[in-house]
Amino acid sequence: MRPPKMFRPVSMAILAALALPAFASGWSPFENTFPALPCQDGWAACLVDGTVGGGVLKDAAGRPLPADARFGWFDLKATQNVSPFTTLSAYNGPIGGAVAEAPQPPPEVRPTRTPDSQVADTTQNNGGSTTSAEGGWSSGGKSPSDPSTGASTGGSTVTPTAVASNTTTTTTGASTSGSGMRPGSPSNPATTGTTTTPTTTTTSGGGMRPGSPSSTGTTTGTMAPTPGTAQTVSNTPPVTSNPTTTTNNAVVAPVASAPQDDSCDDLVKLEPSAMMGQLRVGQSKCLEGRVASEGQQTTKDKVSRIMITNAEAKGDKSEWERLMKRHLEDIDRSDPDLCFKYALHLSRGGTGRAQGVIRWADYALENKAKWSGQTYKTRVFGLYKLRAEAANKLWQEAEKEFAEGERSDEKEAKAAKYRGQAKDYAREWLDYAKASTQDTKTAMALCVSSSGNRAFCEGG
Amino acid sequence: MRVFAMLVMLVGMLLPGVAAAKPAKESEGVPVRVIVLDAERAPISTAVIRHPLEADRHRVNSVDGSWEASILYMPDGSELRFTPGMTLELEISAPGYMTQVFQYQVRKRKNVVELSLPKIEMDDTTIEEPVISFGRDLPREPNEAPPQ
Repeated sequence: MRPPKMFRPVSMAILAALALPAFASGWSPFENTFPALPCQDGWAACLVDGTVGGGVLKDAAGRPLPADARFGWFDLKATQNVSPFTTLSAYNGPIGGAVAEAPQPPPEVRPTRTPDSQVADTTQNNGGSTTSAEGGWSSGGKSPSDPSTGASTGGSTVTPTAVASNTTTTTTGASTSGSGMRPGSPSNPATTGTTTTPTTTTTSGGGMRPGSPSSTGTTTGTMAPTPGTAQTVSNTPPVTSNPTTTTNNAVVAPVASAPQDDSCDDLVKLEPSAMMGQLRVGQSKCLEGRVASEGQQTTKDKVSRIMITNAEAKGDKSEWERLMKRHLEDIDRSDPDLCFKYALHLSRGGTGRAQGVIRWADYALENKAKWSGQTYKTRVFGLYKLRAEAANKLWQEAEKEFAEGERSDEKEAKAAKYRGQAKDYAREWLDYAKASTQDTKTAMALCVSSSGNRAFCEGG
Repeated sequence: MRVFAMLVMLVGMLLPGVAAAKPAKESEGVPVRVIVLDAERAPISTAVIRHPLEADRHRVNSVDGSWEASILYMPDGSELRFTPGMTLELEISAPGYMTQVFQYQVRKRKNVVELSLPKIEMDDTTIEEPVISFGRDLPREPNEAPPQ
């Protein structure tokens, strides 16, 4: 039994719709081969020699390379990133600036009344005696009625029994040492060492407020208020937020950032940075100063080239154009590559830049003997092409001005002059294309268009 | 008698009409009108038209892109009149457009030709951009051994 005709399109559509998911394979099979993040292990910064690097790595000679380079630029030797199939490295730092891992709170300590021990002066006990709070914020912020702090009111004395291990894994500074904790947050009595004398063993550090009640050790027995503890322990230098595993008494030395070297005496050293567009502002200023003050033209040339390369790698087109123009106008125009590059850049602009294209293409052609082989052929062909196209633009503009505006002899003469120029340049381009057995199609079209005579262009 | 008079008047009225319908002089030629357009059918104001044997180029009307003539003057002093049945060859060009040569057989009347010119495609993607060198290559010292 055949289905009715009206169901055929419907069944075809259903089949087509069912077939679609078969093609919709995900990206997951390719993630290892084409990682979305720049670093080879997937993080935004790279793990280089066991430390999180700042976006670049260095080769054996100490030259900086891009973080994702698998082979050295200069020596072609494999870097640490040579394998793209590595898995993610473990991350053990703080996430989002919060405390990485807080130790488990001790079992609740119930205050026991000791009628005999009335030595505790409850009037001075608003946080002076604590259980363990490292930073002081926790204990000081507790309400006086909180029995777990050890602070007591109404003449009661607390004998905390919670004791912590002496060595703990802490994240200094912003983690458990106090700066990350808010006043009034529950204290953790078990995070620091147990001492019998609540004195200078501390990790309190930067989070401590001067004069805030704090203590570091866990006191046992009768607790006396120690309002001055903070002063005794606050002599540790400010700590960094780098996650470190320290013992209780460890002091983390501050990481001082090395002063940046913005000198520009050694130009060879600056070349790798310039190639990646990573010259610092200070270095650029230094180079700029050298261009202005340098006596030797050859040195000016080198310095200027580094600046041009840096601007190009950075993608700063306006700066690149300024530097290139200065180089060609004031320093040196004998390099046909530079002239060619600048002419090519100008050719992407409008008609207003066409004169510049012709000028710099002419300078490049003057020094075309510096090229050889295939480079010579392609570059010279490109220069003739750039020049003919620029002349054609000028001719079009002049013809339009004459035809559509108010007609005058001057405009007609100008149009005729540009037509003659376009004809000459097109013919030169065509002749070179023929001689070097390259594509003649566009050159011939331009030549015939400007000369108005095919015989002129086809004739030898 | 009255009928004869009316017949004479009718013939008298018809005769001037016949005289007016006389064909144009052979020296004037048949006018040919060429309209030059671009690919979007817009007139090309800068187009020029030229006979292959002619020295001068004729600009089109910049408003509608048209050109009209019935005779051309050759460099040798001869005249080329457009006559019905003759094959006319013209070169149409404009800056930025491909030049086209076309042949047209002149008819007795309604010689209007529309011609569209394609643009010349400029493609600079084929140009390979040179890389700027640092200019560190120094000439070898005279007493330095050549590299192995």
